[in-house]
Amino acid sequence: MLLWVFAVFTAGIVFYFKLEEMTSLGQKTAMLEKQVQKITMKAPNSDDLTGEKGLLVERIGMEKAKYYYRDEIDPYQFSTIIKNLLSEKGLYIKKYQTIEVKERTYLEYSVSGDALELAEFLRVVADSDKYWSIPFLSIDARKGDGTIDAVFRINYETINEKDY
Amino acid sequence: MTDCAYAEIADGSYELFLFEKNHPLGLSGHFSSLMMARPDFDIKSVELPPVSEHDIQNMLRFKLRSLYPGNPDATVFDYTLLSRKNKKYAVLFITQKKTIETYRNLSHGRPLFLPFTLVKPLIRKYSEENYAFIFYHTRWIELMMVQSGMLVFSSVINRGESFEINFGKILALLPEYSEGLSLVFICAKEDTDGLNQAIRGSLDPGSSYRMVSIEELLGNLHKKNDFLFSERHKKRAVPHTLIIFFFTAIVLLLSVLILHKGVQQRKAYFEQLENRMKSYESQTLSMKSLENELKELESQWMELHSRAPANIYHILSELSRIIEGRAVITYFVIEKDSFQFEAVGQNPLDLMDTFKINKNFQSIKLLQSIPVQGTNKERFKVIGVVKNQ
Repeated sequence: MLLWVFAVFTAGIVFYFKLEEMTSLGQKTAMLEKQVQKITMKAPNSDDLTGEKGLLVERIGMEKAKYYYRDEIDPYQFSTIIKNLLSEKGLYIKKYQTIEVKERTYLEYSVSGDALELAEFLRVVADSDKYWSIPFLSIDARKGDGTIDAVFRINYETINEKDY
Repeated sequence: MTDCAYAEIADGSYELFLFEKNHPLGLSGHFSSLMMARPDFDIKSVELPPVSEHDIQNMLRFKLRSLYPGNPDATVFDYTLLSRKNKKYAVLFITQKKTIETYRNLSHGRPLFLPFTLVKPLIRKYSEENYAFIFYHTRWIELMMVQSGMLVFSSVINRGESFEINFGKILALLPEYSEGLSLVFICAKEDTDGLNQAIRGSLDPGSSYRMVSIEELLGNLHKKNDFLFSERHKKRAVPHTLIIFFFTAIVLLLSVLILHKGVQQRKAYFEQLENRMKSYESQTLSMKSLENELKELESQWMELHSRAPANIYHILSELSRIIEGRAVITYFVIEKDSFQFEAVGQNPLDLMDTFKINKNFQSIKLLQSIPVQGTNKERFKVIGVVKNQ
């Protein structure tokens, strides 16, 4: 009889603790279910992000390709390219020189020729594969004979390979 | 069951014999069960009220005090049940404790029985009539009177040499109303012929009786499960309270087990959720790092793009598109994003309106305008700033 009472008492205690455990687990589960639901709704689409990243990497690559690296070209090589281009477009070079402005070296050209030839030269500069910059340009067409005199400064844009 | 034995008292001590040819049994002799000597027992028949089988034992123990004069502490009993038409009777076998202990020692744990054990199947068989069963044994004779399937009384006498004297004693035991009784004589096979002759000589001509051999009844003994004073027999009834306790404990145990199973299942689901949550968390972390990477790439691209030089060709094209047909530019200068031009044309104020709405230029100012003599044109100067694209 004592054994039976002990067994029933023990079973009752076990039952109580199991019931407590069940209730606590039920609450925890409900909370976790809500969290899972919330996190599922908020989670961004990984495919979209990956696609966007690929597009940006491609764009950056294309943009970087328009810059020269430090040792890729020097002002003399660049000067040769511009000189040849001006001659090619039929513009007469009256003078060219290098000038330093805020630690940057520019090539300054004084040219004369047809206005359309200058426009064509400027178009080629704008459409070049690399970024060529013209921070200064003056065009004088006051002679009235259909020709122009122009002075412009030109240089090339560079990037440091380590920075990108 | 021909290897059954019986016990007889000789010179104050018990001797065992096999039923087969009354062969004496030594200490090491084999036998399957033992018939106790009837003179050692008192047999009583008690009608039972409708009580549970478990309570019968207690009720009979209580009733025994009025049935048997011996010291209750030194008395033991066992019983067998008979039932007939909703009525239940207990046939009690009462003796001294020491007697049963002696029999138990003699039998070495083998089953014990009494003549009634052998006769009980016959009572069931002849339950419609009133019978007197006369059990002829080697040294004693038991008379069992059965009325409508119920034992009315049982008595024992010592067996004498003369059948007539024995029979006379038996008849004297029978009550007055026993004239219509059927007689059943039970004796060993070897005694059958002698007894038959003696009975015929003693009974009135035309009286009927039956003869049954003990060997025949012993043959049926193996079918029975009604041995006496056995432990199994005494423990046959499981107390009701024990059953209730047992079932309560089982129900409680099952409830705990079911609950435990439920808890285990819920635990497994919780762990599954936790794992899913962890996987989502790690996914979110990788998404966050991907998003940061994207932001970094975007700022890198913006920085690279912002460093792109102004497109002079595009500025000049836009300027000429605005001025075309209205004026002719004679001088143009641009440094970084500030420009100035000189032109000759009609109505420069109208031109300023056009500049204002153009999205490529800002801060456009007309500095000077001088009419050209002899024409309706003006020579004018304009300054402005190229909008950062």
